[in-house]
Amino acid sequence: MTGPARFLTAAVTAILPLVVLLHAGGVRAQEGTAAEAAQPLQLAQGATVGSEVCLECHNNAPVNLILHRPHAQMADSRTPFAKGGCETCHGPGGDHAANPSLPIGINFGPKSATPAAKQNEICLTCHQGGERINWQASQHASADRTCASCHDVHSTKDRVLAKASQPDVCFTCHKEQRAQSMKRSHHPIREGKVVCSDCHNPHGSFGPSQLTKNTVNETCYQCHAEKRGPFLWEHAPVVDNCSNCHTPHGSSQPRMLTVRTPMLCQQCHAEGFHPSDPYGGQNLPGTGSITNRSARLFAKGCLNCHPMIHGTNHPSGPRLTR
Amino acid sequence: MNTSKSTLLLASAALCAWPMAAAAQQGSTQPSPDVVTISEVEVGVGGVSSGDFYFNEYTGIEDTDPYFFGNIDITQRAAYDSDSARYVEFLATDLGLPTQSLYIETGLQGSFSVFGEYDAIPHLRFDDGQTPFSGAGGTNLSLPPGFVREDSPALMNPAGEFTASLQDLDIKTERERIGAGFSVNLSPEWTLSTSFRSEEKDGIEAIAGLHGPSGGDYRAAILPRPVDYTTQEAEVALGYSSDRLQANFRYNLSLFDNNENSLTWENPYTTYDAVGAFEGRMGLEPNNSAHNLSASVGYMVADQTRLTGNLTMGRMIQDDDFLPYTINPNLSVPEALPRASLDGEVNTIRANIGVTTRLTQDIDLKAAYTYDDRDNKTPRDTFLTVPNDSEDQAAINEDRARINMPYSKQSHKVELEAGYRVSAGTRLSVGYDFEAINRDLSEVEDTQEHTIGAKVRSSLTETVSASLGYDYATRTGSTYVSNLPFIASHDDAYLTDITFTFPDETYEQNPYLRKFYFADRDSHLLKGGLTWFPNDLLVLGLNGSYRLSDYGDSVLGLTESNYGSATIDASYEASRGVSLSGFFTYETMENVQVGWDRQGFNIILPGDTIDTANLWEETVADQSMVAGVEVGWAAIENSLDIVLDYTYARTETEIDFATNIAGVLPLPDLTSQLHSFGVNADYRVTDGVTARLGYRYEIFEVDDFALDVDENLGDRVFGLGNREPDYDAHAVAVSMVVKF
Repeated sequence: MTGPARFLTAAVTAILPLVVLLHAGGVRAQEGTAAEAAQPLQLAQGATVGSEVCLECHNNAPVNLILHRPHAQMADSRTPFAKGGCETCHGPGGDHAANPSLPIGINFGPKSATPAAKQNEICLTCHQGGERINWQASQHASADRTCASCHDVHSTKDRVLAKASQPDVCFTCHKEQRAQSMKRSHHPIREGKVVCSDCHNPHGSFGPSQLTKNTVNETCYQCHAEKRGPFLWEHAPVVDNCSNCHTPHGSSQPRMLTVRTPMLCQQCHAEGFHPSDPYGGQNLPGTGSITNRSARLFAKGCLNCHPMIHGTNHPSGPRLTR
Repeated sequence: MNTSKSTLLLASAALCAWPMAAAAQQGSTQPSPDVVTISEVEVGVGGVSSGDFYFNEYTGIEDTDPYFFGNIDITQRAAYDSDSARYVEFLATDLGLPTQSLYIETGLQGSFSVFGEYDAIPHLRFDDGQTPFSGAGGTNLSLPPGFVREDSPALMNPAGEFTASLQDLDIKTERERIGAGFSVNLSPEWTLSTSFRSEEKDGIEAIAGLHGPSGGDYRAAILPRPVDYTTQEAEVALGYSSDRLQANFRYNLSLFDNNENSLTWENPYTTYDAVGAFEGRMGLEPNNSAHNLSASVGYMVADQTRLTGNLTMGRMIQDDDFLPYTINPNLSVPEALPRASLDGEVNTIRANIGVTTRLTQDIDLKAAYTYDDRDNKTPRDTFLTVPNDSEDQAAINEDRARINMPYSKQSHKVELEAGYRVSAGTRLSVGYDFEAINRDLSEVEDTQEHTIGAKVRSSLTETVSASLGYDYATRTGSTYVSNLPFIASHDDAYLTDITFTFPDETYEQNPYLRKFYFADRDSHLLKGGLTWFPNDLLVLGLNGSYRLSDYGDSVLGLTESNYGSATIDASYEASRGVSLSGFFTYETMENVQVGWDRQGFNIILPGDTIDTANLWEETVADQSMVAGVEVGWAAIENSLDIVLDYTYARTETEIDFATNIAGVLPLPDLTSQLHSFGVNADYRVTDGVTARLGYRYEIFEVDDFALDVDENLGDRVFGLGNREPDYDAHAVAVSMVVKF
């Protein structure tokens, strides 16, 4: 398939369903009015009082900033405000309104007295679908993380949804990854061009390590499709798992390698001749070595001769040199 | 930089935003509560003291000229209590810079949304490269007139001829992405969405070009290779969500096109002139495509019991025409290729089914089973190769006649976890995982790994919480057959040749080696953390982990790997608008590997004794220390906010040998050291107008023996001459921010 034909195929794949749908009149505006709002959920005991009563005391930032956020859109019948305002999530506020020293039924966040499972249950009432379909089996759920541990629905900018600030949110708990992102070889995480959610689905995926895709390799292929192949000459550990050789959060070695070459290659190659040599200080370039061994320590190491390390389609390339 | 796409998107954004902007404008004469606009526009000027590529690795700034930049963040949304839920979100960052990105989304919340995006990611690798080759960036590299070809790099520069031939070379790439998508709510339960993304990656990377028939008889040069990729991705997804049942159905298509399929270069060496090896050609990555169809379902069987399942079926295809065996017309190549293209096809299936349940208020259970299959259907053929355009074609009864090895893999994994809430603040959990993997064409056909673990997490007091977990895993495999890949990748004509001593010659690989990714292994993982909130203003944390992987049955190869990490961090919200935070992380990673210096055709068979005289053990020990502090200070209440930060990162790699082999020396330590200091200050000039200052100073130093070479001439390879990426640089930016 030629380049333009491939482009066309992809574009048609993306657009065709919409064209069909629009023709069928499927775009059905669900714009509603506040009057059409559903009944509030009964999440705790006590009388409901309505958001206006809440705002009498809580009409200050950041609490009232939710009024400018999607959750408050009363014309969208799915939102908490359409269903019952603040009390949809926080529970009936009658007792609290009558006696402000009594805490509201449900509060959110890591310091809240409301159990994590209960907090999340509120959010999942509306958000169980989509990428959160496997939340209950996720590592974050096992660790009693709450939605509000990362999200701030009251803020005009939810920090975990903004590229510039998302890593800082994740690094609050993932401290090893914070340190690794500062190493010499790293993805542009601290530069704001790659974020954690490019590779991970924090809401629970069906892949390992909450990856967005089913395997490590499929996740890497999202940005490194040239390494996907299949190739005529495959390199077995590459096909097996990219992380056999690479550490994605940052490395002291070039190209985010776990160990630099030739040491890394020698963990699997002990054939006769050069693969089994001990490459030490005696082989450094400029030390007067009269052997050819310095080629494996200089510049790109083993890749000075075996550049197609991820696989090649050249018929004469079984040793990944072509 | 190509700005046409970003300009197009900006124009689209303006069009999308116009209806609501018009509404807002209307509101100025006839006040309307229907639209709320939250906007922030920043315009500024900045500069860097150095165009050093490593300092600007991902910013893409290549010179010290001042630059102008802008950031725009606009959200227009219908007032929360209006009858409309229309909205527009527009975010533009780093406008005018090589990293600029744009995002626009608009729609009617609850009904539909449409978005468009543009992003650019530069990657500057090094700017101190030099090469004698002309044509960098293209697919044909030639040597300049007057270039003196020699037998080895050491002979090339007696009177500076090689140095005089060098031309400056920047190694850098840039990704440009543009995407769009649409989502529509078909009903309260059903949502259809579709998206499309196209990415172009262009630039120059470094790659090795090799001549010579073997690892003992070769000459190489590092070449500039073109990068000209286009990757397109399209996805259609149908989602369903009701109280108890949720489902996602998705089709994803990914098309990779490499607009350059090969790289040809003139051979700078005379070594193989006798066989006419005046040129070399390598294949670059072939075009490929991938299709994935998936269905995910989640169902609440009861209030506290959830079933989930996922089935993904995929296909990866690659069928680019093969290049000829060689570009060298002077070599004897009597046999044609067995096929014109690979007809490569890999089918994947992944199925997962899981259940989570809470049996009682205190006991919860999780169970999951995952089946993963990579079935490589690529046909296998014998290829009579021509080694590196430097030797006649191999005959079918020779070692260089090779059969391709399309690897397949199948795994079954079971995961079980039980949690028990000992008290309101304490949860104890135990887990057991089992994974069985089958690999074909591999030394080990089957591996099984059992993992058991326990974890306790507790709120020890109202202000202290802690966690501690331990996992133990043991992996064993079927018989390790060292020569299986060799036999599987060679033709019967070679294996049954009368001059061939079967099976001895098949032990190209040392039979005592165990490849680490399927070798028998025992692993231990210990992980813990402590968080203490002494009061509402102070948070202290202590976290650590230690992982040990013991490959006890591996005589050669990786025998032990361990990793340790410890972090202490604190944050303090002081009064009078001062906040402090800091962290320190120490990491250590150690790999111990053993080799046996095996020179010549000294065949080792299973059961043979390997003498200790040629045994070597190498320890590669990485250590890193990363520390950071940040101080936020409201210097003038409601007027001046200042944030100071400092980060220090040091890495050190020690590589030592223990061996009886004479003359083996440790390698010099590899180190890197970063000091990064920054100031950000916001001064509110008026309500809604802020003056902003950003400043960063960085020092970066590297010791790396691979780059610490005076000339770019190695013994049998010449490089691009790039050196250790040290820098000492400043960046400053001043801007005005207007909020409205």
